[in-house]
Amino acid sequence: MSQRFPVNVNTGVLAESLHSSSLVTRAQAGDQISFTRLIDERHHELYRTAWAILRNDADALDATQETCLGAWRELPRLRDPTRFDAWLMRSLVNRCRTALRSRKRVSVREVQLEASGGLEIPSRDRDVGDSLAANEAIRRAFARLRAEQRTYLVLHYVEHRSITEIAAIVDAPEGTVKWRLSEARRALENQLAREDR
Amino acid sequence: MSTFMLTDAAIERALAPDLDVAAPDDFTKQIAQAIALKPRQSRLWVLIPAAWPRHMTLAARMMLLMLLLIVLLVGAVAVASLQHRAAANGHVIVARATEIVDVDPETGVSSILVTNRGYLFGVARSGDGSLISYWTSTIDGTTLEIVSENGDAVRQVATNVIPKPVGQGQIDVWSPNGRSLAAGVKVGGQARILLVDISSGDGELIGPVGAENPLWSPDGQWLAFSHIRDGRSVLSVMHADGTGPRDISGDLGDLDGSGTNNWSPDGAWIYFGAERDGFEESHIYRARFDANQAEQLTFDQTSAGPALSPDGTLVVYNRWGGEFGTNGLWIMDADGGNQHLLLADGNDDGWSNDGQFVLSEWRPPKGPYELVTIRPDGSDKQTLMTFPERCVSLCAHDLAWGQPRP
Repeated sequence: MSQRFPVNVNTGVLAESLHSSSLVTRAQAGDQISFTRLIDERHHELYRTAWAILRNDADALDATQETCLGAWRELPRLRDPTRFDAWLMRSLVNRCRTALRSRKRVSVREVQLEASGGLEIPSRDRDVGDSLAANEAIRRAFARLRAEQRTYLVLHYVEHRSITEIAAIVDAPEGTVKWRLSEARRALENQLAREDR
Repeated sequence: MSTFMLTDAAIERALAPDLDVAAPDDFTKQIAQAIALKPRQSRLWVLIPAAWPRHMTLAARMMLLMLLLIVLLVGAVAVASLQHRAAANGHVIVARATEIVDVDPETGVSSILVTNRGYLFGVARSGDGSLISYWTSTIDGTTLEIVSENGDAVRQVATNVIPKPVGQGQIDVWSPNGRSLAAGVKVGGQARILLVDISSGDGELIGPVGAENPLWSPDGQWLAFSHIRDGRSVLSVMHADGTGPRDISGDLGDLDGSGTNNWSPDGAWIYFGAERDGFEESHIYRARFDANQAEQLTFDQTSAGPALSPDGTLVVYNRWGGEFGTNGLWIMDADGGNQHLLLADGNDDGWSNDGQFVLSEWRPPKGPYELVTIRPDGSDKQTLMTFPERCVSLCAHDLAWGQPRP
């Protein structure tokens, strides 16, 4: 479970511990040890978020590395150290978006549904539940979504980010975030409906 | 396969990485090694005597100290002069239905310059702010008029040509010396460029048939314009008298040039937008004045309406649609670098004359649209006026504040 910080819903600013803020400030001044500490505390979450969006080990690793190295270069430009997490995550999702755009074709892993060694065959029912085929169908549908839609779905459903947190990450009004999240969900449903045909 | 009932839990289960998905164990170590090889040097090391190289001679240190003192002194004078920001920019002129309104950006106080029985639009201001041009539309037709900055001496011009405006999005441009006004018009149903001599009030149609969207060069010797060639809208330049036209936008692929926007102060570049399918795809370009070649500056999302800062270093523009919902007013370096959001839900209405402020029509989370100014670093956002509640989009069809509107 990734670390979350209390959210001030009135201002939309992530309230950060004194520990992280001081690390950010020192890292901005050039302290490499403080920066390394910041990355050490966050790189697993960054990697898993990138993986959830990109569905690929190599791309996720590239995006995470580039995000961290870019953060080291650009950190002096961050005016408010308390916004470090949102700023870092924004950088990551931007890099994931670039990676998705550079792909010529989204590859979708086909699942062979056959009985073998204890693997359950999903029965035909309406409850998505634990169905392996259902998971694969959702992933195939997800793979056909635009980069922005994938990002919103991952931030909300996988990372459990609130609307306010997502708004801080993507730097958009909360109303816009709500609308785009519902649009992404609808797009996923539409793609799933195509699976059924 | 039966129809799915997609649940939040199902989405999470399907998309969440497996527990064994993790970054390599040595990830942090790799990052630490990478940044150790490329330490970040403070860009302000010159200002920090403690950061000066140890081998620097005493003479060099004294010289640097003197330079620092001079910079501090100049900076103090510059800051003091910023207190009088409005003097270089003048007032914002806005057309509102049957009125031309003058708004003081310092105080927010507005006054009516012109009241007319017709609908007023297409406002443009001369570079020194002394004259304002606008179009008037009544049931009898449309006229092009000029008024002084205090509302006096209203007169019609170009009555010898009887031009018609291209539309309510009319953007006319004053020559740098204030002696001429260039306007895209319709004559006999065809797009033409009208050149008005301010002194005599006479108009002359110049350049090729089909030319539109005129833009003056900084030295007033050339006019850039757009026109159709081989079914595509391209950018061209011609002498101020309409002679010697040549293309400058090169190959834009399947995009159409959507008008001329700004000419860089050094005369080298003309900034413009190009789009297709009604702005389904739209990007910002700059074309070289001395070649038939354009450079694309934006690539992601839909971008349009560039406005170059008076010193030619920054570009503000509109960006919308696509990813992350960051619709609004964006800003970038003149070469397309450092693109970032300046004002969410803001629209690009150009720069003040001194380049200190950007003018924007802004949609707040609640309430009517506002006309605001904001500094290019995103600070000091000020509301100049509020538009009527019924106005839901692009309320300021017509306004002028020094720079030609994008």
